[in-house]
Amino acid sequence: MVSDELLLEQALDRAAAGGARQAEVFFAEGASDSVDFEANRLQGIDSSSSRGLGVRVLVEGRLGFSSTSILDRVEDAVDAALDTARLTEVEKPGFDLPAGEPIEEDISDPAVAGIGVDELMEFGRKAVDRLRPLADGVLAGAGASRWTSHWEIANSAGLRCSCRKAGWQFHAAAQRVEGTSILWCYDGSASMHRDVDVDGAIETTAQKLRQSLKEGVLAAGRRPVVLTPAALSSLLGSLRMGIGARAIYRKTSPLTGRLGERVLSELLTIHDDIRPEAGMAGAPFDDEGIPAARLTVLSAGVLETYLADLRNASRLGIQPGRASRAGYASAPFPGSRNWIVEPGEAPLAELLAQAAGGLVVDSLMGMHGSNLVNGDFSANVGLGFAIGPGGEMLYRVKDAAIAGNVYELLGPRLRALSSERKWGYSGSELMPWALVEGVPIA
Amino acid sequence: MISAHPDLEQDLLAVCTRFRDRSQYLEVRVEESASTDFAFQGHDLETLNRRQERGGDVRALVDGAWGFTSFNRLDQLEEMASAAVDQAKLAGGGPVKLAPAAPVQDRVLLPDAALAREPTLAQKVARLRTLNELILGFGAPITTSTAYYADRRARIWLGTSEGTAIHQERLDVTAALVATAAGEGRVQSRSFSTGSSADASLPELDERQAVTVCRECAGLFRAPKPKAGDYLVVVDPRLAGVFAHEAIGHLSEADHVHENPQLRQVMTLGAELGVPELEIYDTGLVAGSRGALRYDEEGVAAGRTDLIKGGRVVGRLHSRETAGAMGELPTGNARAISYRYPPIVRMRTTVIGPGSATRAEVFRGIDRGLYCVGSMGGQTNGEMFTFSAALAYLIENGEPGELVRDVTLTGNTFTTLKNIEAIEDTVLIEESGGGCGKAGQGPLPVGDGGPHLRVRGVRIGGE
Repeated sequence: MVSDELLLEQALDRAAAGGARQAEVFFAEGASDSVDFEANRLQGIDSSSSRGLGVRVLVEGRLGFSSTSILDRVEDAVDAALDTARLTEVEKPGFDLPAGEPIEEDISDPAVAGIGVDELMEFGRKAVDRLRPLADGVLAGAGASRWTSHWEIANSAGLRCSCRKAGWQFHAAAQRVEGTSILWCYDGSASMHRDVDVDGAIETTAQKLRQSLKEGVLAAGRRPVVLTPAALSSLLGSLRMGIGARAIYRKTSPLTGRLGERVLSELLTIHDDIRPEAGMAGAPFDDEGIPAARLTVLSAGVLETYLADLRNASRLGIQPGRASRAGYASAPFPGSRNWIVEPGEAPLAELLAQAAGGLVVDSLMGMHGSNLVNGDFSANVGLGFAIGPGGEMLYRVKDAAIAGNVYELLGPRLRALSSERKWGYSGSELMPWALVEGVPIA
Repeated sequence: MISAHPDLEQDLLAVCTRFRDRSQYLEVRVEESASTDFAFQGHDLETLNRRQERGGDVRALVDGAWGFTSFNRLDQLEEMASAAVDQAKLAGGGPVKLAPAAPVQDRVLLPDAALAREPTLAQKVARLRTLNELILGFGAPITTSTAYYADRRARIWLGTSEGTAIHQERLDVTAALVATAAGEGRVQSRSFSTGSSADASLPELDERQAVTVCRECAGLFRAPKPKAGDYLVVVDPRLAGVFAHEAIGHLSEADHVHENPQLRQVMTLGAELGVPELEIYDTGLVAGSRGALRYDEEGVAAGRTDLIKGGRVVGRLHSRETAGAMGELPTGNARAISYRYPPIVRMRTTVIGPGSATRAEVFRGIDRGLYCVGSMGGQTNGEMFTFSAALAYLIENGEPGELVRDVTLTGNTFTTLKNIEAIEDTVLIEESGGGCGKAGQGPLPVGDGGPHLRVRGVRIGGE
């Protein structure tokens, strides 16, 4: 089989010969090992490898894209891409694949790349041994995996860049069924370094489980709510969707034309950071080869920027640098990377004390059925706790739903962010806890 | 070297045979697929992608524990089979015992008629463009549109150490039309989606649907939200199907049930879960449905499995592993979205069976209620469900009246099953474009359907 570099050059040559004025090849390969514990035992070990490439061409101003994992027939993929470019629209002028100095970086941490299957199994067993005895009928679980990846981008403007990266993730989970009452709780994170806190994730899951052993209900009405970092992240999904340049260009986002305006509470300052040191979604360059940079999305609630790939950047006349791909088979699309929310000033304990009589919301169910681009949502509280007079967790609140609009709840109703922050499950979100006043609870 | 050819399953069988003494059970799959997807946004064909895939996987059972490998390089197949056996050994023993299944040698090809009807890519694009332009030309308050089409044709070869050798062809086609109204700081969408496993021409997708989507979107844009609270609700077949899938289908997946003693008690055979008239089943036999299946990924024939009959639990969905663990029969529900994943227990087409009420009887006598139509997705944690209706009408004096928007239905699954007051005598299975997600595998093509249902005490979310 031909080497990777040769594959890329051959594909570019064929695209040029087929009439492409511009062409780009994205090659990716990866390998992963993962272990999965469910219902108190190891369910299986999965070792997978993948490799393939995606070809994008610009023919007479029209874009075409095709991908393949059949690397002994790359010419078919190039021809398919040329074929699709006959049917698409003429792009706005200004779409130019970037040139630039070659980048060749290996950001994989040897300490992560060296994590073995036996070690992953050990983490999982630890979780099961700790969580299972906590209550009758607990089904303990865990997932741990480690992966390495290598990708290369070559384009007709002469850009050549490649990167190697390694990462791993761990999560602990506990499920408990009593009668027709079903409880799920979990915690975990992912990282490019050894710093995923396995013991911390297990202990947090244990704590959620213990706090859930007592259940109760909360009368409907408007109450203060403390959102955990995970719940805050799901509400901020509206903003994440809303600042993507494609939604702005299509005017389907309520944030269209609102740069420089205050769109959320002045307590919120948010950065989107693609640099490798910023989190799991980091890399030296984005998926079109633009060098990594940090962007401030929201500065004290004021909208500072949209996030764009090359295509939407040329349409809107803004900076590119936020192209992502979901693997080799995906054409680039604009979107956020590491999502970093600046902390507040008050400790979490103070937020909880101020929310006496209210609810801690840790997970929301049914958000995807909501009108999230608009900000409107109505969701069941998957895991939530009633807050006592001193800010203590009283019991798990069952059968509660919250509703409202994200731009209102995280706008005028946001009272405080905690000084503590926590990495999200994906290892690419760093968020504080948030106190929101007057949340409608049904 | 192994390469894709029509009789590849016989080569895979030979590989499996070589590993027979190193494993209790070993299966090898190779999949080759070609897919196309495109989407219009506004007037523009925003994306048009083609994809070719070839890959394989090996699943090995050693001392009751699984090892699994997946890969793109078929020249590494023997190595990867060896690795799967090693991973299974490393797991150090487990409780897995497969229920017996007779070896099958078969070939399931797509009918020539289905292929002959298939339009060219240029024709597909042209057809969607026409429908998309219809939406854009509707006028205020519709401001923009999306039209989406995707198809995937796969050839899958399976060989097992027990002698199964099957070659299957599969087709999955989906399309959706979305109208969006925007203005006054608000955005409102309405969509229609459809799908098929047999007919790439998607006859359901036509001008009439495009106009209906626009009319309903325009209506929703001006419609109020309902007041939050508990309602007497009539759900349409699409929403009934989503309920069958989300609330009962997932609870009937035996991998959840057999590992969980409490859930096993709730879902014990004979347990009374719903009203006596309630019947729910899952089947691979609905021709053309996205859940239609001849053999599952373990080579087990996929027939009809009754889940609830007479309001009582009568069966569940099995893989060979879960059937072995529970001493029941495999049902042909072991599915995987691609060669990158091991098969797990999944649904096919999940249906609420017919009752005895006419449509008029379902609505009769409702003074104040809500008629919920279509689905925008749902989620459940087993006990609680949340579904979004695409749209809803207030029912007054037995008649659907004012249109309302942003309707979210929540409730406790078990209470709701006992609160069903009427089941229509006619079942409708309408394909939709989404899919099911589970354990990181999604979207898996599935189908669902049912009759109109009247249910009391359903909580409608909102302020």
